[in-house]
Amino acid sequence: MDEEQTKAELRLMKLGERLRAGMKAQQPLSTTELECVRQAVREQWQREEKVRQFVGRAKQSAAQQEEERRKKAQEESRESIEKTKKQRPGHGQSLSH
Amino acid sequence: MGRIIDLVKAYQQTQELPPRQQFAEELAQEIAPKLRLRISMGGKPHFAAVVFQDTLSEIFKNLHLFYSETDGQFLAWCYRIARNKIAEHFRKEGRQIGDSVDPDVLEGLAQAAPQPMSRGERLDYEYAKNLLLKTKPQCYDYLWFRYALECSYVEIAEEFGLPTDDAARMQVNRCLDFAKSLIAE
Repeated sequence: MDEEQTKAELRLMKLGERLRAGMKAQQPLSTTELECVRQAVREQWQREEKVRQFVGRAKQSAAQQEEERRKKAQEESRESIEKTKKQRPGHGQSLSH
Repeated sequence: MGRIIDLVKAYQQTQELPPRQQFAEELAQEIAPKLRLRISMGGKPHFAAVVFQDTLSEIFKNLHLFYSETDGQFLAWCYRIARNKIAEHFRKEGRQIGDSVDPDVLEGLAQAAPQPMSRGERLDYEYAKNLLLKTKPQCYDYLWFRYALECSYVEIAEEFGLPTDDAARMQVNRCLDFAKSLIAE
């Protein structure tokens, strides 16, 4: 890039800076625009909150199911042990018949 | 990381609504000047406010999906949303996207900047403004994206459908040459 081009580029950069500064000073965010941002954020947050609640309930439900399954397995295991004990020779009934 | 991307990450990592809104407002203040300059390229000042508001709303509805590491990439994402909104708006209105920023609007913006211009700065400003305006329509947009919106060559390539960032760099350089030749005439 030659010197002239660099000069032109520098001037354009300065122009850009000036335009952005001017835009910031001339058109700050209005109350309506800020409210529009707040509204969009609120809507998105509500959607996420719904998902969080749904996931929370699903996790709770999964934990309950797991607990019930575990209890049932324990119960079955206990019953199975009891049954085995009852069937074992010398336990409960005599073999002398 | 830049100030903008810091705010984006702070926003994304916050679950409570009030601080999230606070980060969103700060972010909106940061991006507003460039976003308005981008939208003003639509060339219809009376629609710019509506399009700007729509764009802001769309940005904040989708901010949780955005992932990147630089201010530039975030702004490029915002510009894409703005471009779609401008196109959508003009489609609804049934007319063509307008010309680029009006010279009077440029002058108004330059005057609105808080720092007054010295004589030397005024000369530089006039030179740059002429450079920009004389390149309409072929090069204006390239120079506008590069210098008013501070886009990287990667972002310019993406915006204009150029194959590489080098192609974008060459295009901008050609535009600078072209503009200088017009000024010299």
